[in-house]
Order: sequence, then structure tokens, then C-alpha cells
Amino acid sequence: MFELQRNVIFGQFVDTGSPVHRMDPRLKLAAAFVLIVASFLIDTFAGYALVLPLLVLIHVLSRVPFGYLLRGSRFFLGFLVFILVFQVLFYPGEVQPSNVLWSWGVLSVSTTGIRFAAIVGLRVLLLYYVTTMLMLTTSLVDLTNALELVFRPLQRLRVPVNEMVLVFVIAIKFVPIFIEEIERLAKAQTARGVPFDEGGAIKRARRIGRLLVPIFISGFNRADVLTTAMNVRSYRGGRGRTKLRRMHASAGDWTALVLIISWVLVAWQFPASGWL
Amino acid sequence: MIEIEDLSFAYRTGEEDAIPALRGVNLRIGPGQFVAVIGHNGSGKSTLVKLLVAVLYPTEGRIRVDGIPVRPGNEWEVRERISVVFQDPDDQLVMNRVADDVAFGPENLGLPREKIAERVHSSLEALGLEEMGERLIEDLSPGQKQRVAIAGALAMRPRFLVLDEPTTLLPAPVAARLISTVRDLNRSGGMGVLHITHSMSEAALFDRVVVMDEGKLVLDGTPAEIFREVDRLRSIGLDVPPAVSLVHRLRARGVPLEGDILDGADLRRALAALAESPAYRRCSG
Repeated sequence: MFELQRNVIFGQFVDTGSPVHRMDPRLKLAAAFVLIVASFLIDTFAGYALVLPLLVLIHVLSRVPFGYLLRGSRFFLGFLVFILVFQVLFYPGEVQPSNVLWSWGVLSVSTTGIRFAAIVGLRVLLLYYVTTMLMLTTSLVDLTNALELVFRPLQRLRVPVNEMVLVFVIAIKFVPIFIEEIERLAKAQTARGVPFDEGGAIKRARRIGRLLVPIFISGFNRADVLTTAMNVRSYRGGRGRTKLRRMHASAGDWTALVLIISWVLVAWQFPASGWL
Repeated sequence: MIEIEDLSFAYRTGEEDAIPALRGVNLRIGPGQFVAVIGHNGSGKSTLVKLLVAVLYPTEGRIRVDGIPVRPGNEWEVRERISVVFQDPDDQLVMNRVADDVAFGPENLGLPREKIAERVHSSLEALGLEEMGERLIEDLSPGQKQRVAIAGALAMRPRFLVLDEPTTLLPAPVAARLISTVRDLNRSGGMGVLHITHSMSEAALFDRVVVMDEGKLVLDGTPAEIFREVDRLRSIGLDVPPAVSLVHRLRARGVPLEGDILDGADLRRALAALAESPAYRRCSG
């Protein structure tokens, strides 16, 4: 409970100043999008095996410590394994009797089910990795500028794109602040005798519930101050705003994007073409 | 110039349980003045801040900032003249890189890129943060974060800077350095400063102190004038700095300490002067 900050990675930004960090945010967002699409398209083990070196390359370039990512993903990975076990046990598709390894009532374990769950797991892992790395390597301003540009066409439909992007960005900004606050509250309650680490799952969940009310109250207070502060700093929506940062896509950024697209195409088509 | 005339404000006006927060406040703050507003919780000082920047509007009376009345429709003009820094920097900083956050205000004004860059640079320099532009705010100390917040306010080039208890979460030495930086800004830029606090030792560092209690303005003067009213201050739950309290007791017992004494250094000087005086020499024989 007291190690939340190390165990939750969502919304964090790790500034190593690497080429991945410096990549033009528009192209980085495009590259992330390509990889997200890839996670839907690729459905063979060989395909994911082909994507893996690309991810390793990106990760090495980004200089984000792998241990940090892994530790920060513990909750998520635990949850994923939990879901996948159910996926195997309750596999709904047709299974040939020869593939069934074990069954008991409605529960069964079959090679088909395991294969299916494994592919789903790989899809989710790729999706998680790409979005997490996008957050870890992109500062809020870069993310804002890129998202605003991507969603600009929606402005014609009178969607308040700039405002929605800012809301999203502020939400991310507050994640670590709230985590810190939850930790502080948990420590304060522990000091008064609330045993967070004892009892069964339901008891534990109830104790966590007791943290929610103070968190909500402080959340509303913070939102109130932030609204005032933004208003005082003359924030009146996205209209008429100018920007300090200039976005600049280098030849290297374009090369990286083209490389990622072609790599993904190969990983998607090559295994299906029967070469493997 | 900030002109406040007969200002009253109540939360939930028109309902039976309306809560009066300010009652008949009159206050004029000239350009470039260095003022502390002191009062304990619920004295109405934070409400005053919100009224000054047109987040709330007067129930009665009026406020004018450089001649512009605070009323609906004028809020953006008013906010271009007054900037506010709040207590917790985590609540008011919008972006995660120092330079990006300082740029947030000027960006909202729609300034050209070069102007924004210039303002960011000069604001960071004024707060001694010129090396930190590319740093992440979450990696900074609370004192540095508060400096970033002040740089962000400064980048708006306001006529008045309002500091709403910005030192509450800071250790005393850090708070003192912050106030001395603000003093420098006030002297060099001619920008008026309105510092909201509940610390008397901090208020002593300002040219003028305004004391509020239960929504009313009760005392207004130089720190020396204010600290003469020790009993009055205690009756509304405020205390004077230890040195001032000691002087008060010594004088009550007939020790003839001369001059205005606001802190320990003043007291040492006054005691030294007393030891040199003919009266003391006669006593000690």
C-alpha cells in the first residue's frame, strides 16, 4: 500500500532526453497509432516474435530503465494473468476433443484455449507497452500539441478539441499527485490503527473505500483552485492561444515512422504468406 | 491603484443562510506598494483575493483596479493587471516542464512566440530559475515549485502581484528567501505586492500591514504602528513576533526602550543603546 508511487506508472514522464523523447510529437503519436493498429491486426505468434526486436530497439533507444517499467506494471501484469486464466478456463469457441487437456464441469483447459488466450495476452501487452511508452517519453506540452493537431478536424464539428485535450492532459498531471495523497492518507490511517495489510480481500477493499471520500473531497478542492488559477492566468479556452514550443519533424523522425510502418507490415503479412 | 470602497460580500446571497465573508471594507493600495494582509482563518482574506481577480463579484460596494471596475464583463481586463499565486503549487501549475508552465499565461494572451520566449526567460531569471527551464516540476523542491508559480504570475507582467499564503507549506528559511526575492521584484519592477499571510513575523517584512478580522478591516498601518496594538491583536487571536512581545512586556515594566522594534536585531540595538544611556549608568552605579 505504501509503495504505490513505485508501482503505478500511468501518467508518469521519465525524462532521459533520448531520441525517442526528442522525436516530433506528431510523428511519435502517428507511430504509436501504427503500433496500436498492429496489435489488432497481428494474430500469429510469429508476427509478435517479429515485432519484439522493434520494441527492444525502441526501448534501448529511449533509455527508460526496463526495471522501472516492469515494477510499475506489476499491478497491470497481475491483473492480465488473472483475466487470461479465466479466458482459458471459460474458452467459448469450438474445441476438438483431442485438444482438451483437462475439464471439470463448465471449466476446461484446451490447447486451442491456451493459444487463443496467449494471442489476446500478446495483443494487450503490445497495446499497453505502446501507450505506456508514449506517456513515459512525451512531455505534457508535446502531448497536448500533438493531440490538438490530430483532433483538429473535429473542430469543424464544433467539438471543443483544445479544451478536451487540456482536460485529458491535466488529468494525467494529477495522477501522481493523487497517488501521493492516497499514500499520505493511508499512512495517516495506519498510524491511527487501521491495518491496511491484514484481513481478507473484502476487508481490505472496504478499508480502501475509506480512503475514497477524503480523496474525492481533496480532488474537488484542487480542481477549484486550479480553475481559479487558470482563469487568473487568463485561460479562456483554446481560442486565440499561441504556443511557445515549435514542433519540428526531422528527417530522422520521418525515417523512424517509415521504418515502424514497414516493420509492422512485415510482421503482419510475412507469417501469413506461408514462409514460416 | 486598487480602490476598494464599502466592499461587502456574502456566500449564498439571497438565501436564508447567507454567509457574510466581508463587511464594509475600505482599502486603497497605490501602485508599487508592498503590503501584507494578515488575519486568521475565516477573516475573509482569501475571499478578498477572489474578488480582486473577478472570480467572485462584490455583493455591495465596489472594487476598481487601475480604474477598471470589477464586474462581469471586465474580468479579463482585470486579470491582465493582477496575478495571483496560491498556497499549493501542485494545484496551480498546469504543465510538467518549468518553461512550459511559465509560458501558459502568455500563451493564453495570444502573444507571438518570440514575446512569450522573452517573457519566460526574464521571469525565470527574476526568480533565479534560469537554469531550470527544461527541468520537470515534479523533480523540484516545494520552494522551487513556488518560485515557478511566481514566475508564471510574473510572465503576465501584472501591475499587482497577489500572494495568497504562498509560504504556508514552506520551511521558514525558504519562505524568508522567497519574500526577499519578491521584495526585489517590487523594488526593481515597481510592481505592487499584496501578500496574504497569517504569520506576523512575515508581515513585519512589509511596508504596510492590513489586519482583517471576521470580514472587517480592523487595523491598517506600518508594521511598527500595528505592533503597538499588541492587546488589540491578541484579542482577535493574532500574536506579535516574540521580540515585539518581549518589548511590550519590558516597556510595561518601565524599561525605556527607544524606537520601533520589529525583530531580534532591532531589540539588540535598542538594548545596546539603553546600556550606553546615562540613565542606565546611574542605575547600575
